[in-house]
Amino acid sequence: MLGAAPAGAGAQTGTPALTAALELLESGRPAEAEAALRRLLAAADGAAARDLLGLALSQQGRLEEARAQFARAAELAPQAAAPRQHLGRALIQLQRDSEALTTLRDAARLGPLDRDLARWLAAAELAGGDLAAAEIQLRSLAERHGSVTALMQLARLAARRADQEAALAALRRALELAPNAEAPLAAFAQVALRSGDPVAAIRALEPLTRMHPAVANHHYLLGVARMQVGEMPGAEEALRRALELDSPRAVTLVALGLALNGQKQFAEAETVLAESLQLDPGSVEALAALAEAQEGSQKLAEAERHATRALALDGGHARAHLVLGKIRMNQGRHQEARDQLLEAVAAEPDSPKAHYQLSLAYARLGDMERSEKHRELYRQALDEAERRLAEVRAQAGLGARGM
Amino acid sequence: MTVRAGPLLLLTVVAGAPAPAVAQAAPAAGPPFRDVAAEAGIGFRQNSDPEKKYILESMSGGVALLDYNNDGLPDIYFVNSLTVETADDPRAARSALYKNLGDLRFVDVSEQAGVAYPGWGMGTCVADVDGDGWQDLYVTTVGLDRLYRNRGDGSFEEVAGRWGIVADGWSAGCGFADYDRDGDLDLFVSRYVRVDLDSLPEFGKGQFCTYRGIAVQCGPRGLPGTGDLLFRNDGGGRFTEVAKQAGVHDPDELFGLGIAWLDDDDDGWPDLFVANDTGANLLYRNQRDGTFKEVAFPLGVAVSEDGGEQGCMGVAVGDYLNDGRFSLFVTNFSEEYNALYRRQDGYFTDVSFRSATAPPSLPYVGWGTSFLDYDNDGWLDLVAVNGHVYPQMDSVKMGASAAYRQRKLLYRNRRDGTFEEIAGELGPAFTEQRVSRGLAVGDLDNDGLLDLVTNDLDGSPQILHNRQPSPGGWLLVKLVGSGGMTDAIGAVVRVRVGEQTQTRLVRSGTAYLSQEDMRQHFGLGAARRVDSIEVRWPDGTTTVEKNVAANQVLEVRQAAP
Repeated sequence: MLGAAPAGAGAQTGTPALTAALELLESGRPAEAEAALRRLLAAADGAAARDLLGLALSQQGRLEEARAQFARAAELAPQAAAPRQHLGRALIQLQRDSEALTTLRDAARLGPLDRDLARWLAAAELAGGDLAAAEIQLRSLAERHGSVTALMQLARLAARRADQEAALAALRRALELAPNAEAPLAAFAQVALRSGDPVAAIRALEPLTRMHPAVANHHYLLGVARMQVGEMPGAEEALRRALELDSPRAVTLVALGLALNGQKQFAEAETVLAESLQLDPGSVEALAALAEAQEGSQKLAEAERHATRALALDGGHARAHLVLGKIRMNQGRHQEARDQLLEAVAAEPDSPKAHYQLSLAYARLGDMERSEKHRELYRQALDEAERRLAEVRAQAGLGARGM
Repeated sequence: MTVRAGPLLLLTVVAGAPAPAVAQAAPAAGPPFRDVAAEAGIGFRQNSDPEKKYILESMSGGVALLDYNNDGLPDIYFVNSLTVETADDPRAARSALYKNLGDLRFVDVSEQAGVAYPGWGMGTCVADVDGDGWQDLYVTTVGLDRLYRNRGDGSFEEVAGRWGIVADGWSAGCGFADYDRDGDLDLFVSRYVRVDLDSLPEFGKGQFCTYRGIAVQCGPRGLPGTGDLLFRNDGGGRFTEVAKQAGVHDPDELFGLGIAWLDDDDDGWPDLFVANDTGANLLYRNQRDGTFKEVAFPLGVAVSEDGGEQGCMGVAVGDYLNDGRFSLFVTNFSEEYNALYRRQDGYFTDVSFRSATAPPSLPYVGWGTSFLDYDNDGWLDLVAVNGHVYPQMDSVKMGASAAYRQRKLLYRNRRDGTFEEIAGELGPAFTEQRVSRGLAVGDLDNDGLLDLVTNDLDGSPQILHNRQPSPGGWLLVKLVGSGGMTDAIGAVVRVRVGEQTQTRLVRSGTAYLSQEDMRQHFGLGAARRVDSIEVRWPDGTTTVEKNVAANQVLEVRQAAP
């Protein structure tokens, strides 16, 4: 495409001689076209003739000569986009990227670039860190050429600036153009998860895992999405599939551990989370989840050790504080339990579990007023969590949990 | 009455009571429990719609052990339910009273007893409500509940309306207790969902009518609940509904199912626990002035340890640690866990995982449950019977949840606060896949070993005859209270052997909508005698028997005031 672009605007466009030269070019006779154009130019200089001459030279592989003709055409017609695009393309072929970038920026200001040039410019702008300029080209590619790749890049840019809505919009458009394409589906799911829309993610990932059943990451994402809608058995199933398909990843193991904890299958969770920690010994999430599993299995000393390690890495980790609080409750050390649980609710104010345990701690300490207060906060948090969960489960067609 | 003589027979009758037939357990070949329902002559079957398109069709029914003819042998009453399709035909569901003939043979006496057609039956509980020495039968229903007064001649008369007991709507659990300690029995009835048979929610339509993406019956979430009822016995065959003034009416209209009267704070006044489906449980502390205070949350028995409102069905009460305190065990929905709330230091602690009772229960939907010493070792074990509510479960794989039909759970007490689930060791009768609901535990053949009776959907009931090969000694204590409280409901029995003291509570309304044998069973291990038996009667007076021989049915009568 680089050497075959149409001439476009030029001062002599439309004259019979130019038309004849263009026909020669289009019929693959660049040398004859060159001769005709040189005759024309000898009679009168003009941007269109020089632009076409550049194309004729370009077709013959005489890039440096072509570049000079395009440059002269651009001088003669400063508001014409075509010579600049042609000049840019020649510079790219000559690997004079810096000049090509300047030229195409100028060309882009005059009108939309051809698809290949827009893609090149977008990539160059991305590489140079000018995201806004890149986005203009990507949007042009998306709108004028229906480029799925450009839409995905737009989504990535939007995600990078935390505009999840724009990212999702771009990916939705990409999926309209290519409904079953793997990359946009996967990207859509990731962005949906990141933007707190697990239902949308599930809708993308369920067909994706059917169409590409051997891709571990798709199953991993599906597991995470299902966990977010409280569908722990389904999450477990997907995460186990991900682990079957690929060598174990720490994040997948942590997710599986959390899904198992969510189902109170603490013994299995402990095994999985211990393996995760071997792969990533510094994972706060894994440490806290392991502590939770061990507390559930009544391995209280180990649970305490891991919760303490988690808190050493992240002093505000809600799950680790909650585990320690429950351990202290079991030990009858209610004041210490209260202190841990206060940290837990400070770290995660909408946690029904933490408020409930704190309510119990206060009751055992005889502070019924605070017990009642945290019971009320527990109730509010529970109602809100249930409401949210019911909403997303309904959207996902999962129905209510339990009876 | 037949009293068998022979070398294995031990018979002790205290204070001139009629003599029950007593047989010493003999070693038996085969599994420790065997289902003898068919050979015992039990032909009862629940009237059941196989698809269970409506929640109304999934929740029944209870089963009661009572001695309706005072012959010393527990008889069995199975509650039957209608279906939406048969709702207009009360005779489509025949409940059944089986008279115990001894030797594990039963005969259906439902018609002559007049208890065959209570309507859309749900649950049952037993008490000698009028204090005439004959046990009466209460049946909860969808519609108007029935109180069958025992005439003492093998027949019953229905007196609920006449006595002022108007419990309508969908009643579930029931139980009698003398909450105001005025010497007669009052009645509590839990209620479940408010239903209108003319506009039932459509199967599979709506947010609360799907489960993991499949169409199922609707509810209870998404359906309106209904409050509970307390009928105060005013004497002379008159009851007054006082739930609101007593503070037990459940203003939040939660989905009430299993109930348990118990003396939670050991002050001699009955407290009340109500298990709510998908809602917080309620524990009403008796204020000794005719009112109750709800204390489930601060005491730690309202929800699961992580604050989850579980699908609570049945409730068992027992002193499994032999420390004199009654703990609670609540059966729940699948992927939740059966919750064991240990009573200690004035509170309940959810020890479900610490006690190892939770993990085996996760796949199952639990219903009937009971603390029982099945092997007579002196420590209370636990049983739970299971079965899903959605037959549609069978068509899809649903994570950790078991299929529609489910096995039972039996937890053996390890005597250290933990349990081991050993149903698989007890024979196929325990592991058979069933859809169980009601459960009543009692000694059907007076051999000192506790048997189990279940009421199942989509199948025959089970009578699990306990045939432990080498059980420990035992004592079965039948209490006879004075005045109008002949069942001694609410009495606490303490049996001491050496350093060990076992404690039992006489209850009306047990497990899931059922009634277990009111005689209190004690396993004694190797002991041949017990050092003492102490009874604290509902009125606070006590009776103590010392140096009592093991292996007998012992009747203890309260001294007349």
